[in-house]
Amino acid sequence: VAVKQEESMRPQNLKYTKTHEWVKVEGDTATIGITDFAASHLSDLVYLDLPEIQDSTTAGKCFAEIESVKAVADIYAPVTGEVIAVNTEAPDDLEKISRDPFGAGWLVKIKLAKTEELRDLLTVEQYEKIVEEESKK
Amino acid sequence: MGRPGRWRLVVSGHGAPAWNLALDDALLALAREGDVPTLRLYAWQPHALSLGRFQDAAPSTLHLAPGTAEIVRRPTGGGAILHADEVTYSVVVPGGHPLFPKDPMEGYSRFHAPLVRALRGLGAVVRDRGGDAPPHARPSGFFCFEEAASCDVIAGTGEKLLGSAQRRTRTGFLQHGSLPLDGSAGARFGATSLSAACGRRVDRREAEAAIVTAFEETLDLAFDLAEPTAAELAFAEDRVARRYGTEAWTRRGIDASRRAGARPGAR
Repeated sequence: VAVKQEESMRPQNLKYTKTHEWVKVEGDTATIGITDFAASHLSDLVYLDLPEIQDSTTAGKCFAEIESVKAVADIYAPVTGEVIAVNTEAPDDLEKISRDPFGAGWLVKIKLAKTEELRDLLTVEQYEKIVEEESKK
Repeated sequence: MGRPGRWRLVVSGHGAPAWNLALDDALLALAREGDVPTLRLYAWQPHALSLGRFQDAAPSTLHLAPGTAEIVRRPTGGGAILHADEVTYSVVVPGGHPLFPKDPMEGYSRFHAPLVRALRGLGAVVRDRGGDAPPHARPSGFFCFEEAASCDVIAGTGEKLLGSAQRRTRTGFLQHGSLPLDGSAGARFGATSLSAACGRRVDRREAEAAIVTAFEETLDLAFDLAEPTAAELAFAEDRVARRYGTEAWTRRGIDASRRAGARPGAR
């Protein structure tokens, strides 16, 4: 695995979770997606089940599910809040997630209810240590 | 603190379809780092047709005569399976355990190995690694047994002998699968059976004993026979009432055209 190459593509300005989601904070809005590591480990994606606008999310709780060939995985909300936008193109073009997980493959935007939760998220350096450990297993 | 090498064995016998899925879901949902993994063996009464997590429910009525099987929806991916005379297994591995698979293929390869050993020990002719099939078969047919990937367990005749599916959460990994004992019910859905692959009738007791021994030998572990915990039973009862026993959940599939595998040209 070209870990070095993978590392260099992870944006510095994002926050990350141990469960392989990323968060981009702009004002009181958080854009959420899954990382390249998660997308590549799930491999061939089949279906993505996203919440609807106005649904609420709770930090650490499952808010979406993604199906790859013969496996379903939970996606966890990094923050508590209300869904204010959904990437409706993503379920119909799952290649967006595999090809551009930090850009066109974003999943939802959440209006933050508890900004203090952002302190619990990981920096890119902290996240990459987790990826490195998981890759060794 | 669970030690690697020690597993729990839950032998459930026949259960109602919604209960069977709810208990697998409970084992997964309540698995925590430090717990021992679980192998569960069970069967279905009445017979059932289980749909994959997002699979469209509509075609099931085309394949089933009314009243022949209950329709339920699994928490795991993959295609529909008719559960008739079969041994069903589930493996739950808590997060952080040395045998926790890092990706779906590792799970199939790791937990199909003891099953293949058991099948061969019973006299079945089983191909290695699904022969020339691609690593992942795109779900094109409605039934799980209609298509084979290299991670599947394939009989010498080329027919699929074991169909498995997975779900992964932050705290655990679930893989469950179906081994038809007798071909009469599943034959028209693409499955062969253990008895056909062995050329003799193999009963449940013999098949289950072979699977338990093969897990112990292949993965170097020892089982402690146990019942599900009170918390797992309570969680499962709640899941039957709120999810697996409800029409809303069972019907909550996605039209096949919206799933990537069904779209011509989709990767």
